[in-house]
Amino acid sequence: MAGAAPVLEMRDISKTFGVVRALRNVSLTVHAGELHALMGENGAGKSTLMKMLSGAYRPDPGGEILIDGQPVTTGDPIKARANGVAVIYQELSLAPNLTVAQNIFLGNEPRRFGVVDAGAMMTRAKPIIDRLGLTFSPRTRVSQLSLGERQLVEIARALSTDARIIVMDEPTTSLTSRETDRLFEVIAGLKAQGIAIIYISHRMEEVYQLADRVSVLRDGGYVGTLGREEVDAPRLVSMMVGRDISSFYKKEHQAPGAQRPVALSVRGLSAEQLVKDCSLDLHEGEILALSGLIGSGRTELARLIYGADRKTAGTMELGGRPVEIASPGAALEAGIAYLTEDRRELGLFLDMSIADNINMGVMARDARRLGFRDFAVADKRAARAVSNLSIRTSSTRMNVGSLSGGNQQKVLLARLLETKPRVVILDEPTRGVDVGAKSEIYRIIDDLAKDGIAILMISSELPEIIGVADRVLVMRDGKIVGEVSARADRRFTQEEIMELATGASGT
Amino acid sequence: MKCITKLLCAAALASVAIAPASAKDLEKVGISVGLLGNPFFVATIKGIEDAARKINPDVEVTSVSADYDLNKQVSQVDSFIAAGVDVIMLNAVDAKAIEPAVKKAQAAGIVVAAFDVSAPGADVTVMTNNVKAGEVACQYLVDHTGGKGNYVILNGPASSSIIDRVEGCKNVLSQHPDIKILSDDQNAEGSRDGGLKVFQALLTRFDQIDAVFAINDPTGIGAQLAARQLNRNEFIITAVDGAPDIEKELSSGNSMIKASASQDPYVMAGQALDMAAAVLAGEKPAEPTVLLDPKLITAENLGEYQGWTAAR
Amino acid sequence: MLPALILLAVIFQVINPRFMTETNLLIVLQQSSINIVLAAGMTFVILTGGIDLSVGSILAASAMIAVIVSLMPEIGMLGVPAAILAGLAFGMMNGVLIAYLKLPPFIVTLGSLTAVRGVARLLGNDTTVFNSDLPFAFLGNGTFLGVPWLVIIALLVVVISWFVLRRTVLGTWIYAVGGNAEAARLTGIKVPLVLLFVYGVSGLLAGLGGALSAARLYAANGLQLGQSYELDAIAAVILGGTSFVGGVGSIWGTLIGGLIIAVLSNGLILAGVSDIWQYIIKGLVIIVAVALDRYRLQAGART
Repeated sequence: MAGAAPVLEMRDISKTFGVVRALRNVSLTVHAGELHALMGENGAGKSTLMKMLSGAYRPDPGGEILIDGQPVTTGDPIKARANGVAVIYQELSLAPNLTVAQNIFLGNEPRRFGVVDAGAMMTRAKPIIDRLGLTFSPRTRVSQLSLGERQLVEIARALSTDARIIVMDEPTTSLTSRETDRLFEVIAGLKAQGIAIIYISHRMEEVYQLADRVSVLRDGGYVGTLGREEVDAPRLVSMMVGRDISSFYKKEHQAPGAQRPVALSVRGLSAEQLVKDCSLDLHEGEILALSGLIGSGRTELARLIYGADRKTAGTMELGGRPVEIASPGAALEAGIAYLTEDRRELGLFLDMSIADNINMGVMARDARRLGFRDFAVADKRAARAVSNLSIRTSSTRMNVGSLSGGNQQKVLLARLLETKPRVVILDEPTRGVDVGAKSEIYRIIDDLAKDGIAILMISSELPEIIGVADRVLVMRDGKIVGEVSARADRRFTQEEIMELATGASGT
Repeated sequence: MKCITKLLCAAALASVAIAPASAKDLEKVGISVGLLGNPFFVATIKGIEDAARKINPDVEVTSVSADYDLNKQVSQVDSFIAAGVDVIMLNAVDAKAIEPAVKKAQAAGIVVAAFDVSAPGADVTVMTNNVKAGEVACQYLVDHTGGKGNYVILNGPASSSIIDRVEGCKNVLSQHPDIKILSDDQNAEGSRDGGLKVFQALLTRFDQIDAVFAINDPTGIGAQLAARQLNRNEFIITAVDGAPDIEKELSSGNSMIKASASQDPYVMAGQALDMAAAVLAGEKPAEPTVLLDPKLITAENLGEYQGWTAAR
Repeated sequence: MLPALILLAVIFQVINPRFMTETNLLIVLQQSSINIVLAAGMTFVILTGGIDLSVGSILAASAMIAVIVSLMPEIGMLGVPAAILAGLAFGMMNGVLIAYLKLPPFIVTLGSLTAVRGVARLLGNDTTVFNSDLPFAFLGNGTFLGVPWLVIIALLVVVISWFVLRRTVLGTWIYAVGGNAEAARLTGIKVPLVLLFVYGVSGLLAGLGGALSAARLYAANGLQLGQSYELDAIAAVILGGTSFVGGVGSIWGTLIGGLIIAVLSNGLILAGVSDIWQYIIKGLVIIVAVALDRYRLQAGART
């Protein structure tokens, strides 16, 4: 691969939107069969750069894109596709009600006499599906596929256009680890076939595992490229954030152990699906992580505790007193707060202001006579939250939708903290958040534990669990299958957790 | 029952007398009217029911409202065919487009009687002479304005009866060169609401109006409401229908509405049923289409007017 | 949307200088009043991402009740509260079905569009009821300090709606439910209560609209009155910039939207445009106005 002519060269790419310079003289070279990781905080310019490649944007004059050494027309998505570029976006763009084959050829259907030739579509889909080693039929409806399988359909679609350069934008965000492994196998196969892959990801482990080279962008500028052997976490992080992050995970609170009182006690909690007879004790000032693969019932258990779904059995005690939580409203009333894993769909009111979003949970408590809102108190709360959690915004009256992912997450955290909870359930608190904001969120979580708040944290990132939690419960198939806790001499390891989560140790 | 023309009386008496010696008995009657909510149609239904009971006390009468929707009316006719009625009393929503439905019903051996609005191919038709109604209403306006001045015609939905009324009105007005028609193309929807809205705007548009012809009573009443609000009273209004609310207006003494060319829906529809029953009995009507002349009611002759809701 | 309203007014003024006279402007305001009252209720509903197709029928039924009660000696004035309460009751029925049985608003209110129309017809034995000595006729035809009562009532409705939507907790909740119903539930907002409230308000205002209609016409007709009023109300809300999916919009926009519709109806007659062309022009103006507004917003967002 090295030494061969690069399949793709992007030279001196700049892009200006009005007065904002989104990209400054970025260059990128990718070889056939190479997996080139592209890293950087949110807003660093990764997506903009990829939109130049896909033809969605045209670079400012001076920049050029060469494929196989030939300059290509920029700013034309159709030409880009013809040149062998395919982009798989974070939000999948499949039509759920169509079949796999229909989706693969969407917009590019084989036609006969001007009519879609369904037979030809099936026969042409078959080799692509085989090439990827997919196990489902091209006639399956996409709505019946899991997220991971849908991801593979996206890749099949890219292959159907004879793509030689495939861009993958955070492809594993919503995949289970089994699906992630499957994806990685497919990626290895693609590389072997000489396809170049540009891989955008926030996840260090993936980058270590997959990347042949890593390029880092920061604030629209090119920072540097590391070869496989040069890649290590502190170096990448400092390239991304432009400073050293000595203690990425902050952990100042003391693990409370059993001496502190139990804040939340759950016994035999069950639901119709996925949650079976779960019991746990959560102490004041403790950070208890709930680990397990996606689909193991972690989120479902959390939602059950919060009263968001209906339970079929089980009891709960809060501070030693039995409570009946039948709705999120009742949970908040009792002092339990919940941070959703899906902030855009289940958390934020994107068309409303930052202030309204922060106050949503407490405005009824703050209300004046006749249900009139107390805007003075609301503004005060919002201003305090913005400064305490360092939410970066010019005004609390701005729409929350205008914030970056990390700041949106902090707004949700602020909303939850304003309700003065005693028990906080955090479901994937750092999902889709850039490195800088991640570390700030860890600081907030640590501060909460120091204040004696009991925290139940769900996370799919094992390093995060190890860095933050005092104790780990592992779930599998809706049951709590084991507990891992730090001892005086050592912290728990990824292996211990994974064994329980996958059942490898045979509990 | 009051007969309006000699011809009619003869036909009615003849049919009533001969009806029982029937090829087919009158057992089931289906009625489809433009709009059941209108008291006019309530009176037609009553007229039909009463006439039918005289022929056969056990007759089954079903009445439905087409809500001025042709589609609805066609399916209603279909339902009547399926239900096996003997006679369909049809107040056509569309005087032309209803033809296939009429043919279909007749092919199923059903006698179709049109009333109030003509229906092509119907076995019998009884309706108000709407041209005449427009003529008498507008003649009144001409007589009371000295045959000159600015006239407004408050038009309505383009059904045959309304087109005829406007035509009749214009027949009269065109004979007087000193009459100027300020507006005749505004659709007041035949309702109080529409009359009020449209006439409010017309009053703003025109400073001097001498006479107003409203195509039906609700439009006329709506127009008067508009005039009262704007303190305008330089004109007189006439309308067509003779509906209960216009009786009240005419009797009030201070109304701008001076006259209404009245129809008698009860007699009209009853007449149509009698004729249909005769056809059912195997007779050929001497004259399949009967036009009833409207009568102009005013404050003066109101006492003699029986009205639509009178018990008969 | 205000520029579109002003532009229309200027065009009509050029065609017919009587357009911008005091009397005519009062007529326009009056003609818009009932639609604005209905559209205010519709704004609440559409802000939650719902729709209320039954307002025209509820208006008709309430107007029937208003006139029937007005005919009772001594207690004629009670026609107004009776109509409003009837409207509220119909609205709450919609609300219960939508909020607690979780049926889709479009289906529920499509059903009540027909069912309540039937009730309206039943109430008057399917005829027009009228009362030329209506005790509350002043509401429809009278003025207070030169301003028609209809206009005063419509403005009051708009102002109160603004207070509820922008100054109360419930109002913020309405926006929240429309913006993201599931997030609202997880934030502890009682979503069914909010839905019950908005359909109740829509029904109540349709009831008020019924009383006003009766007062204006001295009569009510169960079948004809209020036919397709829901469409005018929806048009006013959408012209006012409220998003059909919920969560975004304002009552002031609805006011402007209602005025645009009334200016069009009145102006086109003043301009001497025939009935057929009025339909075509009205439809096109609504589409063009919304298109211009979108374009303006997008252009604004880009800079």
